[in-house]
Amino acid sequence: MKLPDKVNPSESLARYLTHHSHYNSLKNVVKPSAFQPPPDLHLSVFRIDGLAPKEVWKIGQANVINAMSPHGKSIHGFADIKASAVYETNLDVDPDNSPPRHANIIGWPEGPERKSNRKLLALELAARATLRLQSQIS
Amino acid sequence: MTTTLCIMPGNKNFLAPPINRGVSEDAKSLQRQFAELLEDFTGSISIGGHLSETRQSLAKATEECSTDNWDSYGAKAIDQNSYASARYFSCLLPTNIPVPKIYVDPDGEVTFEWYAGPRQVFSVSMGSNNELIYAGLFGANKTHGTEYLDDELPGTILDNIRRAS
Repeated sequence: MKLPDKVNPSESLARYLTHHSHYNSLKNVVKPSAFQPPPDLHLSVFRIDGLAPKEVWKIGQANVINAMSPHGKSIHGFADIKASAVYETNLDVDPDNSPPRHANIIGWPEGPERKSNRKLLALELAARATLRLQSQIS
Repeated sequence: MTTTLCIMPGNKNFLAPPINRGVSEDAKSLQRQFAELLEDFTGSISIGGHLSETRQSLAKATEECSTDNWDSYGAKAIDQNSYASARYFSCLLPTNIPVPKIYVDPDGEVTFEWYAGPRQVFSVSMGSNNELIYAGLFGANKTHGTEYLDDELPGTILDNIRRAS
């Protein structure tokens, strides 16, 4: 499936969950820490429209866990969020396609109160995301 | 009497030590004595259970996030100054609020979170220079900003914790 160059607001994005602090399985929710931006302010996501659930899983394992920490870790699941939710918080999605289907959520606030602003955006993104756990994927 | 001590009104937890600005040997001795007293109290379920639980959560987060890239996304290891602030902050929390979840942010700062639901959540990070950087969502209402860590828990922080609890 050929994805458009620009990320459509209706597209689904996956933010892979790599730590238990990223979600609460009892409440079935994504936690704000899943959307706290990293030091380089490029929050990694993948465009998942047109993929079967198992393919979504494989992409995360191959491109996040195996690429970044090859020590037997595994993906816990992913946060499923529409690009429209990102745009509505005045953030942007940059589809760099490296690796294929990869994109970054960018445009995090700068200046005074930047960290509290970014925290608030992480709360808003988490509130709009749906939790997909490994047990539901396989 | 124990109950009275635990549920002190206002922003005060009686276990909260005043910030020690003294440099004399006497001041250091007092600080050591207070630390020992605190350790005794945290061993008590009725008085120190809340603090003890919070400290355990902090210790777990510290252990899990002690090296860079603990989240596989390039996060920094826990910041030691932020950790020290978190230990002090945990003493300031009144015992009549829920025990927070404690996490480490990707920049290495420690975060305390009170989470009742996706739109009833308050989060505060221990920043540099005694900054308390916070954000909260309460239904359609939202807040964010910075307060400073001192002898008492800032009223804004406590009010928001109560809103999320």
